[in-house]
Amino acid sequence: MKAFRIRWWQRTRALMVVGVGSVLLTGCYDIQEVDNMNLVLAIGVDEDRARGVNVTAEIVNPASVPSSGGGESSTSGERRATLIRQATGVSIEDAIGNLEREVPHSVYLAQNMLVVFGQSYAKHGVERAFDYLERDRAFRRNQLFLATPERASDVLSASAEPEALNALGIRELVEQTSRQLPIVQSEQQQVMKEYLSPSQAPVMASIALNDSQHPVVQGIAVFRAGHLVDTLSIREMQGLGWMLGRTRQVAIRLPCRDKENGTGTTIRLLDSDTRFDSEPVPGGLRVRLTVHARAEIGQLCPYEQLDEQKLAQLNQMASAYIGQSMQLVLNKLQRDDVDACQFGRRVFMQHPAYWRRISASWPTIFPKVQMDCQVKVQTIRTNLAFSAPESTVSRSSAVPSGVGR
Amino acid sequence: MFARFRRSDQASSPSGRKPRTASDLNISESDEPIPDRPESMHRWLDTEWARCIDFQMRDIEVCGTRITLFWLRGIVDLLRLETGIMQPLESVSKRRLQLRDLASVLHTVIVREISTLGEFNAAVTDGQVVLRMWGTSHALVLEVSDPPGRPIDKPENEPTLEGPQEAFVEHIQLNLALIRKRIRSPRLKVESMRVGTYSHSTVCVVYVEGVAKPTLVAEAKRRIQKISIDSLNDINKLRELIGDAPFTLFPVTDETERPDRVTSNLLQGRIAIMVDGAPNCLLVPAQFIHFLVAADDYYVHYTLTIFLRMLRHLAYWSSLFLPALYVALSSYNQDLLPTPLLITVAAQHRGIPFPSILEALVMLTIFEVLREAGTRLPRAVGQSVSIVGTLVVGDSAVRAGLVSPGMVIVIASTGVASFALPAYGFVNSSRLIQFAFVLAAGLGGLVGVLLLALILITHLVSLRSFGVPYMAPGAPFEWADMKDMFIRAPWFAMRRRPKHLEPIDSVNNRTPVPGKSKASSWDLSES
Repeated sequence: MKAFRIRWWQRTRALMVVGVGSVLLTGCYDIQEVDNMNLVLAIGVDEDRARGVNVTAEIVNPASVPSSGGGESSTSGERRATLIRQATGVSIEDAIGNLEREVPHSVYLAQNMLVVFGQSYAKHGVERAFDYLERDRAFRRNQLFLATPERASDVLSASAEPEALNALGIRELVEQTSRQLPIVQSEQQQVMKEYLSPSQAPVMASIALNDSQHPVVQGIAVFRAGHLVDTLSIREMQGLGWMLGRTRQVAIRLPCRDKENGTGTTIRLLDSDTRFDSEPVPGGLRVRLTVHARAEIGQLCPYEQLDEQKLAQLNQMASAYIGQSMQLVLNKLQRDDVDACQFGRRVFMQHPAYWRRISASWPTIFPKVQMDCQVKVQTIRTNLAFSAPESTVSRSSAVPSGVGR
Repeated sequence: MFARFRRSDQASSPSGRKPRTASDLNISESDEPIPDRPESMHRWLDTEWARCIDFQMRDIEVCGTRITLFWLRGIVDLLRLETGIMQPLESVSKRRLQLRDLASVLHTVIVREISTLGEFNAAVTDGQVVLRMWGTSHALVLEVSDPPGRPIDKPENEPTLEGPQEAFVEHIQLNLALIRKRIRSPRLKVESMRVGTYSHSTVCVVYVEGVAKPTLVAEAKRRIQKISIDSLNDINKLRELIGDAPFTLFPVTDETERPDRVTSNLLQGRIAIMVDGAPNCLLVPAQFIHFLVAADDYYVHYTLTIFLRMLRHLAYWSSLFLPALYVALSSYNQDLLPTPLLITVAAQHRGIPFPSILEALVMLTIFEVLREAGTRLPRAVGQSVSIVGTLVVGDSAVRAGLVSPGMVIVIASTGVASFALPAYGFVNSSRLIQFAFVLAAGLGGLVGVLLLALILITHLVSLRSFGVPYMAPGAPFEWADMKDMFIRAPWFAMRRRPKHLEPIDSVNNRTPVPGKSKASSWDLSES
């Protein structure tokens, strides 16, 4: 009986410790119901002349999100699924703190998926935001860093229909593009990695508004040590993609030989891979990029017959196009003096000792880097048709050969 | 034979006399010999069987010898009493009858001799007829009992689509016969004991000699012999009296109403404990994993069983964790939810006046009340109550803005998941534990849930059932026994009995793998 009492007391004591411990560990202090929070999906950061930083927050308006709340919410466009709220401060953190005082319910940042930097803020340096965004535990490290040539608040206020939530729509746009060119997926951890790499040249997807005020992926914004330097167009973005590594499903449009006819030939690169080699040369560095790509034909010029010779010609044209694109981008980056093609990082990885010797003078070396491109495109399939339909038409009688015989 | 009384008898006498205590009854007299004089016997009967209107006694004279028959009305087969005892006795013509002469005359009934009052009482209460021939020191017990009972029926608590459709009833002899029918071997041993000071219930320990571990059988018998209680007519009472961990919520003994399940368990090395009057029996030792195994698993193809068992595991853990996870994720750890899902949850919870934990506790309680109401009411009404309660109350609560639709879905899914489990006793434990998990989630979010889960796992691995670890063969891990744990391997692959039960003969299947025979169809046709 005594032993039983001792055991009972030991158990009770253990239960008390567990009970009290579980209450005190987090014990309701952190409790925050979902309806007592403002879900922030995107943050826009703009320069504010008066106070420093203007932060725009895209906040979910749950009652107006289509298909939520038992289907009784408004989907007619009377009320938007998101609310736009702005606050200013000397820093992003300060502005977000001010936002807390202006909007009922607490601001919940853990679901934030976009940070859009306006052009003027980006030009003055996005590294001002990096410490806060890296240090604060609320933010996810997979949130996208985006740049825009407009004001960030305008981008967040735009409609990304058919997606009801603008931030989700923009993220989807970027992810769609990144399936072809992974460099567009400028997630926070990737941007920080590039920012801290020897090249110190992060890139971010650039989002602009088109004529109908819908967000579109405009290209890529390149930064030198956190300062926006330039924006690459779509073709330049492709060139940078081929320089940096793997790409998938990138379409190349080649002009027709005799007449344009508004169509041209399309070669779709199924995938491509790039090998980087570098060797020091007197007074600089020579890099060799070897690109291997497999392709299929997306479209042929009218009246064009596909044969072995034509196929070789198309491969050659595609290779030349890729080579030219890469050279074009390099020239631009060298002019801007920004190593967005990550040559510095790749040299460091291949020749660390050599890199230590030249790292201090890399800003002067990079503009003089010579690049050799060896591109090999291999068209492996012609898709469902072999030749253009018009190629079977007889020029003299306009009757397709083989018909009616 | 009978255990001593430990408490006084509280039953009051209808005649207004002072109630007799157990010591007044002086049960120890039961070892005394049956009086050989009618007067002494009547005196004893007047004391012992007073105010028992169903006690019957008939004096007859057979060829000048006075014989008295004693029985209890209602539990004796009167037809057999007439044709098997009375009529043969009337035909006796021999003078100076001896007791053994009567035994040979009454050849249509089973006859045995008794000599003590205790045996007399036991025989009469068992529904047998006691024949007393005056002038001798012994009496004959004539087996003509026919206690009231129902015929063998379909299993109601463990129904299967395929396989046998017989279930135990409240008659232990019938129940034993159902097992004997399936194991036709003298190796099937049945050891009987009487438990219960008043009920004198027969408790049988059933096992297969040469398969079950002898120490396991001895331990079971030892635990049963230690029972000293007024009556024992129920398996649950026995389970609580002989279980290893009396304070745990988890059942450490398995119970079944299916003789086919008992048979397969006996042949695995377990033992069955049956109680007269109980329509089910205990199976020991019982492991956690057994409660997620249904009888159906062995009657369908093993590939389907794999899927069903996985589904059942998912259902069990869902029934424990789903409400708690919902509370934790909607109150503390919203960052772990995908954004679209969180937006939907937030939209649903908008305007609900209660925090998620209170919402969950209220809904769980309502669900339990509905379940209890459905169980207690007659089947037709119970179903109506369940439907009305679930649909009307749930829908109204959502429309009134008291509960979010998400919470209704979670609680309903939890309930449905618990219904998917085959063992009702096991479901009951999860019904209580889910409340604890919801409270833990409300207090500490996912940290609280994980903490309680760790305590639960620690508790589970510390449990034992008749000396066998409760979580075996998972912990301690036994690879060979995994063939019938999360999956069921095909019969041809299950060649050995579970190792954790330490059977004497470990091999139970020597069938060659089908389709591996080298004999061609030509060889077969020639032969």
